[in-house]
Amino acid sequence: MFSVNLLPLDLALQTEPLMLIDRVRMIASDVFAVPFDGLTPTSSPDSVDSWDSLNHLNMVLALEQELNIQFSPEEMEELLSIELIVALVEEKLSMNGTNPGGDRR
Amino acid sequence: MQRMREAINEAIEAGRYGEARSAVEMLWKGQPTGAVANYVLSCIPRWRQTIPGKPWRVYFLRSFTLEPMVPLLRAGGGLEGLDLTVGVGALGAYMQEVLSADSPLYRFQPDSVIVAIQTRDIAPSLWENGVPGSALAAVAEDVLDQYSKLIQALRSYSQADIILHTLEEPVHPSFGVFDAQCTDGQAAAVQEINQGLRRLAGQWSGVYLLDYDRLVAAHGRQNWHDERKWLLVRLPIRAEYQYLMANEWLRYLVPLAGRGAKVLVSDLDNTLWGGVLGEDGSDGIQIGLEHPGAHYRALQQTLADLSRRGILLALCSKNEESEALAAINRHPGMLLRSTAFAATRINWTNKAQNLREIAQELNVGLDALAFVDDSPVECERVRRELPEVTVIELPPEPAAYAAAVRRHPSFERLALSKEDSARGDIYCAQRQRASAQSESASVEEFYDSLRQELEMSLVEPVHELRVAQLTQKTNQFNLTGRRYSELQIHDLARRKDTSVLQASVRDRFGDNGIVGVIILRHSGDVGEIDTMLMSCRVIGRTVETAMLALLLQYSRELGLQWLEGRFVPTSKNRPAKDFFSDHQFELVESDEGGSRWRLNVERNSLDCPRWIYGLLRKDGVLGESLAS
Repeated sequence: MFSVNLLPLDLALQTEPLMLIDRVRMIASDVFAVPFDGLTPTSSPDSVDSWDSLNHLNMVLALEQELNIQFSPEEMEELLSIELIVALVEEKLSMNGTNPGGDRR
Repeated sequence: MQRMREAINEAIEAGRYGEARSAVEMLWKGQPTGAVANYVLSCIPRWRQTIPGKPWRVYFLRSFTLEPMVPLLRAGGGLEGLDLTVGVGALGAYMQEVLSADSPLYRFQPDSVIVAIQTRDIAPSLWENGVPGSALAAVAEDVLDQYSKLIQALRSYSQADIILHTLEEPVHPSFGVFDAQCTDGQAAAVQEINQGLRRLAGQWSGVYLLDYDRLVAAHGRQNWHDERKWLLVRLPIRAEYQYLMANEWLRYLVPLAGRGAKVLVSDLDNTLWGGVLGEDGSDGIQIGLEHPGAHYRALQQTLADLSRRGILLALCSKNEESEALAAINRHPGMLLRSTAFAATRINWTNKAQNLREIAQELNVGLDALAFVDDSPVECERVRRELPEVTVIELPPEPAAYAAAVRRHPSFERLALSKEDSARGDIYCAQRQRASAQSESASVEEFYDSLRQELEMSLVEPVHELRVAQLTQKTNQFNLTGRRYSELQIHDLARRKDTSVLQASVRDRFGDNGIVGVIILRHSGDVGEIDTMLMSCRVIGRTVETAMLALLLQYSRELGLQWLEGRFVPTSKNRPAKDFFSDHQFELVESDEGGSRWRLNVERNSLDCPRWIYGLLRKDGVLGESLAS
């Protein structure tokens, strides 16, 4: 991005591909304000205190915006753990023909 | 894995706040989602000490779900220097809230209230089945009546700014294309309501319109809406567009909170023209009405528009000065000539240093500067060295330059006074004054040469806006730093125990307009100087002494025995620090919050400096007030 020596931050600004599950964990960690490492595939509204209905909506919106997908009302109600989210997102992205690894920084 | 965030964290811990803030802003601009907004909001408090934010309270009266946009608004605002506290009223309960004195709205004590109501909520019959005919006219009338009552109720309990969303037109009118030619169809009815809202806003001070219909149309009505989420959770706006809604709110909140930029500092090469002057020569640079020069000319047109809003223009470019000035003034394609710029730094010094000098020359703080450059490197360097400066990095495509500046919230103005439009000319005259100063042998000769005239009178209704703006914007020569809205000035000016005085200065270079304000509260034989301020345009010309002399004259006529006042130190008002002691006031007391001074009106013989002709105007309003 930069051609001159404004290190060290600039190195880190370069995009890094993330595994889909980690992108989802990252979004969830920001939305629910919990540490990234505290989120596992089985994390759910039962295990994460701040996973309430408003934050659920916030997470759905962040996923839709960041991954350029849309969830139906029925699907929104099914997204009740990290692994369920990953599975549904994967299905949607493969229908879109989009590469799930992306440039979330 | 989270390398960028780790790097941001390291930068914050090492105290490299400018660098961290710049990286956070880049993350946010790249992905303005609710998730990233939460991350931004977790970072901002960590540099607040060094890069402060202006606290501002915003309350939403609304008819739809907007909670997911609140973090977007707070994060975007945080990066624009606002520390927003946001309250959201109950869904659809706006009428109840404005009517009840102890509602959550008034308990919140908002600085600004945003009224976000949709057509389909306030006028469902108009939205759903717009049968052309008189029924729609009745709906429009009813809707306007509701808004009118809403504002009236709000104003009777609160002085907060009120921002009203206009109503939007339906995507698909009931009568299809036929609606377009109906003077009484759905589109016509919505436009009628919006026109009525404009009239309504004009009747009240501190009421502003946010053109929601234009915002939706600009991004495409079909794209903007998410009907599924509307039906599911009453959220009408699609995820990708929510940050645009938040940005639109900021275009009002930034100027209302006084965080707008006063000066736009622009680069030259590949910014105001295409190409590099030093390499391509003045025949080789691209600027004019054809492609590709037209894109750069569009940016110049944008700057000319901002200048008419009262924003000063300045140049900061790495070039040979004589060569650059020749190109600016002689190239046939240029729109802006060198007289358009209030300050120029064309040299090879680093830009951060040049920006410091420009701020000093124009008598503004660094936080009043916005810097526009095409080079990510220059932008980054300024962000790191001067985190107070608003940096606008131009997009790679010159066709998108003008829009990047036009949509930036820093340049919005919600009202324009005569002084705003003429500010560029005033600074041009000021540069001539500065050169007169260097030609004069002594300072007194310089003062004499200015031939200054000071005129003071009670504030005239047409100047209440300007007086309020001065209390908002004046930081340096300001004894107490109290801020007032136009509405408050309006009210103060009508109180019997308060005098709001305006001071204007003319000199041989031109009319500076209203540059000084005194608010005097009187009880018994004591006059308390609540506010005394002077624009930085006239600092260093002994205008403050002349203002005090006229204030004494005024106080005598009111029969006052004592003048009292406080000096409240702020981070910027050092120029006013010695005002009281320099003018024969005696110190009454002094503590951490400032010092208190008084002056015996009768026994003081202070006069206008002999080089200023001072006039206390007593015709019209002032005469009446003295008589009463």
